[in-house]
Amino acid sequence: MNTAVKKCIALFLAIVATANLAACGSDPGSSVPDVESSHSVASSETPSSQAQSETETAPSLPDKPVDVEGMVHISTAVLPDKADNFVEETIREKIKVNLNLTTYGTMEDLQTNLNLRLMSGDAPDFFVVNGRTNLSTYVQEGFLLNLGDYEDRMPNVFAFMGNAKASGMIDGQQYAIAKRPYGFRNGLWIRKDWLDAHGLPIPTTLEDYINAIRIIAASDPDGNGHNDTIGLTGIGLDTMSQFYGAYGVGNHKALVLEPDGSISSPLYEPAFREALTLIKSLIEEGLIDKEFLASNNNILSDKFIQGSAVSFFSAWSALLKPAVFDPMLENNPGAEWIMLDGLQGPYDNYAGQYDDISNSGLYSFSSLLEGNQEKTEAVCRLFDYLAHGEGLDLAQFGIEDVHFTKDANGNYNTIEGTGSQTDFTFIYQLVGRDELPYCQVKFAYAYEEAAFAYNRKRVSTINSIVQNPEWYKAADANRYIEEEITKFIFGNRSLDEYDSFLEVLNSTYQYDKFVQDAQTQYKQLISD
Amino acid sequence: MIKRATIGEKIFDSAIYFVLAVLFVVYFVPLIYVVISSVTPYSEVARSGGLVIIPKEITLSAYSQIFKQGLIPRALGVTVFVTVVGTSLSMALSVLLAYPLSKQTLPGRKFILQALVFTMYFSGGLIPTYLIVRQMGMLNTVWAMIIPSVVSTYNVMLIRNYFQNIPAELFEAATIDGCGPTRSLLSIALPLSPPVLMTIMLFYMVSFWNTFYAAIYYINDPNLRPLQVILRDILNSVVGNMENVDVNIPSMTIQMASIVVTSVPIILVYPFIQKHFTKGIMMGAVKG
Amino acid sequence: MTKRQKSGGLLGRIMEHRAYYIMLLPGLIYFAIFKFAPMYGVIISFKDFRMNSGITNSPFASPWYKHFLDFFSSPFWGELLANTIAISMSKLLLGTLFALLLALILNECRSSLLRRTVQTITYMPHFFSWVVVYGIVYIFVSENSGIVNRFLNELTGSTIPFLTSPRYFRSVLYVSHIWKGMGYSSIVYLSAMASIDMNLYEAALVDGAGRFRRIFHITLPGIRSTIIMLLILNIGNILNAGFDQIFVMYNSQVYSVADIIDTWVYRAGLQEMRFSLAAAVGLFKSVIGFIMVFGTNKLAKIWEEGIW
Repeated sequence: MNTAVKKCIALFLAIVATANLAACGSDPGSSVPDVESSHSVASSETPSSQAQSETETAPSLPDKPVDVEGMVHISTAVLPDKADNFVEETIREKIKVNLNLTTYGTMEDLQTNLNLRLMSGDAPDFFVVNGRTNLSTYVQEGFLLNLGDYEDRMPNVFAFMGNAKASGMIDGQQYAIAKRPYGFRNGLWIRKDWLDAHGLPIPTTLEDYINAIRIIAASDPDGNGHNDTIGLTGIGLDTMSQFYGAYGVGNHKALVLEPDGSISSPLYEPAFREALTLIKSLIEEGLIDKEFLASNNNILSDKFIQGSAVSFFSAWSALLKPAVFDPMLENNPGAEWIMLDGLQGPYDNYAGQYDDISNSGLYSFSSLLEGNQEKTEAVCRLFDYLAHGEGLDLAQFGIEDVHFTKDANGNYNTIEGTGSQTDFTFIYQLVGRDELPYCQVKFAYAYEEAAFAYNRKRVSTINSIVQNPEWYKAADANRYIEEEITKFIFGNRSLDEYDSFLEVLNSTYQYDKFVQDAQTQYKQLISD
Repeated sequence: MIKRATIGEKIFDSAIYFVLAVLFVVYFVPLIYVVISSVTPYSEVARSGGLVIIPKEITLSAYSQIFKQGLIPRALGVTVFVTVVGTSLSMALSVLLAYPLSKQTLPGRKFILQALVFTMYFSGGLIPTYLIVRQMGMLNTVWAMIIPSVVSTYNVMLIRNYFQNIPAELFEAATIDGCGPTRSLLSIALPLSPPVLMTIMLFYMVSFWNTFYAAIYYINDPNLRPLQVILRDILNSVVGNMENVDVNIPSMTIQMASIVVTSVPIILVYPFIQKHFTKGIMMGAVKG
Repeated sequence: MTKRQKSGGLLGRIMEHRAYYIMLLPGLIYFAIFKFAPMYGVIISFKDFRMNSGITNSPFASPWYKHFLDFFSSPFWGELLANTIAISMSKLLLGTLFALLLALILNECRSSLLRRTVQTITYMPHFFSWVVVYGIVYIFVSENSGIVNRFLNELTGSTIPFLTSPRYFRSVLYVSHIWKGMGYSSIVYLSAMASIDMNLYEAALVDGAGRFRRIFHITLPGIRSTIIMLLILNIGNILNAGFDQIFVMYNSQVYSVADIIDTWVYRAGLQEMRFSLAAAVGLFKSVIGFIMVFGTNKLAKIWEEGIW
């Protein structure tokens, strides 16, 4: 009996003891434990006064690299081993910043962890913020540094942000560096070789387009003996964007910036209802994939590779990447895909909608940096470095003469065989990149389409700058809109009831008030 | 009479075989789809609507994409450590909880049980738990992936249920022979319980092996990330189509390969566990 | 006098069982630190949680039920609740039934090779993510190209919109749930069956009992306590209908039958950091769940002993 007692106690003590031991003595060789680094931030007595006075007198580099921790989400690459990470190596050498990135595979995971660390006073030095609603919460909580005070330290960053800058502002103050957006990428694609086979021109009007997919789909273009080729497919309600565009409106969630600077929702436009009528007839006819709402990325690329549809609605990047395009070509020899421009419809020829003041990431600095000048300088130095010249090149293409060369005209060329080594540099594009020149070098195979897609005429939206007011129940309203639109286009609810749909939308969900609120928010943002 | 019984038995056996054969097909086809898709060029998989039975060409590019990541061996080490140490601790603690609670005579038993079951449905949420883990200095240590979820009430209840079904006479006899609680546990309860112990061990192993959220919440150090997190990152790196268009392996292939990579070790363990699901563990126990 | 004797008796009984308490100690300490100590977190549901102030210093919401009201004022709450209960209960009953049947069949199988093979392959889908399961489901039941629908089309000339029709969507949820979980859930029943005294079977054999009689008179009674206990424990999850699965599989055509409390909370709360809303709904789910466990346990005690 006594041995049992001893065993139990010993076991428990062992658990506790090892836990503590491991916590204290975490691997000294590895990257800096952030618990320590944040301690030094919080107490602000650790940084050497020597370095501090140095930076005060002259903006020269410190002798020793300064540790900086950043928290970013990397949905698209895996960091290489420390030893192979030439980007961090270069940053350490050139600007004396010892960068440690804490990475998360998804934005949600990052947000969860970031919140926990913010709450317990362990915030990383800089981090990605998940959208403007969160940004404004963090500002209210005092977690963020006002970057306006550091504009002189990061002139290149402020210059680089361009249009995106506004989306990093709250109440007229810059609280986040808004990473440049990737640009307009979505659109309708059609099989050019099938058009040619039927002697059809590339459609420029809505009517021609519908005609083309109707004729081709009915003709068993893949010759498998079954009448199973889909006219148009895509993922979710966005698939209809170019139909709306032909009617001169945005889609069901759009907050459209009108030429006169006012904000409106397409839901209230008579043209929107007309577009729904058209879509409904196309679904009834069987021209549109019955299951486009149940689709996802995997299913879409499967359909593309199988060659099971005449037309796709998708971003160029989803279809043209070799992982998808090459298998497609293998299965459909001679297949040629082209992206369509806006289709002329009854009212207009927009090629969809796009948020021109959006960003592809918000990066904020922790307010814990306040009082730690050495570190603040280092973070500013890092962002500024990555926003121009050599640093921007590094994040885009790697190291000059190792991974790329620059010719006399300033054109970049990658050095063959080094492409896979620079995959991960994308993670360090903290302020974004020059989209089209970047595509030209990195995605030469898709450059033409990318450039074409980038500049099409579109409905301009402002969704990304709008924060949901507290009284507005976005989740309920969004579900109601989506569900009812779905019913309308699938014929489960008569379009005659569209007005009563709007009535409920306004009375129960206060959508009209929300659109007005969005307008106020927008006005305020541009006046600031 | 006897003849009829054997015909009945035969029909019964055939019915069982038939059902198992159907199940075999229902499960085998999707499983083979996963395995084949992970080694077949994607054009072929997509062409045949996902169902390739014998691939014309085999490619291991998805596996090499996974294993070329320098973090994989380390992550595997972390996961194995968490699984082995975690499972051992979990088993010890669970048995020590379950055994006393299986004694009907234990004063306060009902209260303790209610309290444990209560925790299955009520939790204080992530924030206070995180603060405790932090206070105990476990952040960024492997222990954060082990200790906060070291005991599952569900599993304790299963062990306790099993212990309760052990004939009470056995324990009474032992007490008369002068066995204390510890001896009874070690020499009567445990030797009679391999089926449930193996099952629970499997449950703990599987949950530690799949450690994911604990790592997301408590671990920032890339060197301490477990396999599932790294694999998910790799998967994300090929799924994302917005930023990096360079990766050449279809996401489905990687997805399938990572399923194979993560499930093979845990499936290899299964036969060893299965061995203990043999009938007759209690045979003759009462007589003894 | 009698009173003192009684309390002395209790004390005596406690002393008698002291070794057991010591065994319990490490586990109970774990529960105290990691389960009970954080419980104060539930007050977030009654507060306007501010990250900077922390749980204790955040101001109380006014009225105190503000965040509960957020849920109950949603036009969808009734439907969400109904969907959640319908889906979780169907899954519980079907899941238990199929796992039990599988365990019985495996237990009765005389070919050890076949038994082990089927046992292993039915266990494997547990390790698949729902994204992959959805991919498999799509291959089978898609209206465009699904194997089942191609077959139906040949046979009847029409197809069934499994993934997009409110009428069929839940059956897809149930079948995929059973397919994915049946093997793993059956393990627990198999292990319980392994503990049944073989003498009982032998005695039954001598009595000339057939296979069905042995199943109904020995096997099932032998694992009855396990079945009942699992049912009771699982009924506490009545308001958890399986977020991961539904989140991957649903779409706007089937919201009316598939949107559940958890998917709503995800859309309404977590994406916008409404901690208090998420906590309030969580608390509501916990309370209902625990009441269900308590209630069914009482009910179970009528014929048999419950879980405590």
